[in-house]
Amino acid sequence: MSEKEVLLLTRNLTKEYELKNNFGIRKKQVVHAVSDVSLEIYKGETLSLVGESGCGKSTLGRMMMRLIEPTRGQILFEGKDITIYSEKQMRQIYKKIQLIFQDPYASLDPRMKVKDLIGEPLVTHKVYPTKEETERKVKELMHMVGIRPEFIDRYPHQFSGGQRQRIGIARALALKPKLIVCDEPVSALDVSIQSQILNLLKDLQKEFDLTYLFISHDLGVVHYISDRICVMFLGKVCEIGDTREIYQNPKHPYTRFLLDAVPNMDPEKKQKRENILAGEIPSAVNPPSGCRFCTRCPYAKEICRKEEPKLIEYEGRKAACHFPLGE
Amino acid sequence: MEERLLQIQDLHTTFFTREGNVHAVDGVDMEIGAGENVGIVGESGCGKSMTAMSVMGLVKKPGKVDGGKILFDGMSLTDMRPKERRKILGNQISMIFQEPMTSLNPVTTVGKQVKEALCLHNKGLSQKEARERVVRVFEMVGIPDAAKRYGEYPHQLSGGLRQRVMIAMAMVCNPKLMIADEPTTALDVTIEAQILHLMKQLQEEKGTAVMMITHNLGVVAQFCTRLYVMYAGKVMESGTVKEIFKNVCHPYTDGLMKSVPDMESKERLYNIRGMVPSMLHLPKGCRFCPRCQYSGPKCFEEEPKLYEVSPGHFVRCFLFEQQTAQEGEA
Repeated sequence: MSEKEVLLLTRNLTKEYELKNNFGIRKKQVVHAVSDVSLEIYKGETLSLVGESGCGKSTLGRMMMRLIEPTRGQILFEGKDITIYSEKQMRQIYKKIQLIFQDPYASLDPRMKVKDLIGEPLVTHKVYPTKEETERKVKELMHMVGIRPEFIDRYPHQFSGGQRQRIGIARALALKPKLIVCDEPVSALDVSIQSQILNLLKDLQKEFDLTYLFISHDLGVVHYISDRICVMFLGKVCEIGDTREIYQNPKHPYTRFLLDAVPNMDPEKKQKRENILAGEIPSAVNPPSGCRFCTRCPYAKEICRKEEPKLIEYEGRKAACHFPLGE
Repeated sequence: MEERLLQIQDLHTTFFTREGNVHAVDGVDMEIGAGENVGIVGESGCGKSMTAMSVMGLVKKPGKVDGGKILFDGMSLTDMRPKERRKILGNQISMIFQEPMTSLNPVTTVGKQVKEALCLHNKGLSQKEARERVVRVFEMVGIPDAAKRYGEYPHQLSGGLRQRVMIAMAMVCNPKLMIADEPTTALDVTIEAQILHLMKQLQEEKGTAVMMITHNLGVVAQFCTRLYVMYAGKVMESGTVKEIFKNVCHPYTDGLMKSVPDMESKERLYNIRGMVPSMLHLPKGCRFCPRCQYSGPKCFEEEPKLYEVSPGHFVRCFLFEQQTAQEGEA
């Protein structure tokens, strides 16, 4: 990546959900799902959003496609502000941004044949004038993702989880998108199938010059697939930057604990007690004031509870912490 | 090995379906010593959960344990009358399930549910004593405000706390064996680390043996001392964790380990080609042979036995047949 061309950019993107008040007794409560996220996705890279459940990674991913409307903030895709686009204008954008879902069982219509599943985006956007051409393209896509084109008349239930995920990928590829948002695409798969899908995604990226926004909680998978990662906690970015830099030398304590929590494949390297993060994820309804991680952070001091840390540039990454590790 | 606590001998669990008979567990031999930590690893459908369910006697129709023996502490569970068996289950053998939300009763307080398990096996206990003991167990598994949490419902607890309640329920009768079926799969990594740590600590304090069923090799490396790798209803490799992680023998285990992306290298991941076969149409010969890169003509014809490559390390693969024979002669 010599020339860094920004494909998608967010500015202070925020999503808040209002909770219905309980019969007017309590005050209105607000869930801060994603707060003030500004990041860039460069052309041809894989940026991963990592974090535990409820950290807002999926919400952020979907917001970038405007499948969830942001409360505040802007999304610039190829330099254009798509937050103000009408539904009709957005339809053109969806040719360029596609989504791969987590659950290959729930995301494919059980009553549609593979032909129609993969061909649907082509028909909707009237890419080919005739049925024959559409079918030829579908077969080409099937071949590309490693499903035998003879299976074109089969239904999803006749395929295994891994194959279904391949169908989902073919469907996302059909319109030759620039950006694919992959929302936990391998979490539901077995290890041996997971590695097949990851390799497929990497090959396709090289072949079609794709950009991925990869959402996952699995740090091993993320390390393998991504160029840059963005670690999130309770709707906020903790640390964002080069994958290798962050894995080798995290600045934010949360990143450190997250990395240490992954069970090591080497039985000789036992997990140390002091490296286990205590406590639970606080509620996003009333997030802690100051740094959102302060209630779980063993290094938290007075200032962490009062003042919210800003993202500060370090070598190869930005981190939001008052007391960054190793500084 | 220490005293044998659980012995599974040639266990067969079959599901009689309209499409045919599915041998979910097909001749499994296993042993767990007292206080030992044993992992059972495999992909979905390999029979690892069914092995555990067979031990617990929880196999539902159309499935049935139709062969083999399960010995627990010298008693044969398979020959026991159901009434006798129930006295052991939940008391001396307990189980932790994967999804803590669906395995807890949503309309009863968590304290009551744990107390129920305790009172069922300790008839003489007064309500007050039972409650105190449950609160103590809650404290032991690290539930903060144990007395207050006693009266809360499952939906009021987070996933990690619910799993702690499940562990409390499993530990409340001081079992000799705890079967944990993917206890951390549904949890976040930092919570997973907490729960594994807790289980290890309890195991060391109480001397409970644990049968850990998981698909995560990292969990096994960290938590277990011995390991069984299963594939399509059979044990493919078994031995100590140290030995297997250092000296992998079976091509399936090897492929499985290489398929996991680690956090150090970015080299292209290894792929085991193809997919897990349908249990209705198992390949002839070795079950792994269509996916195996070393398979020869013999693999497609004959089924390999378990060969001992080094003391305590067994591999079901013809590649190691000769090696064992030579060692046997020497």
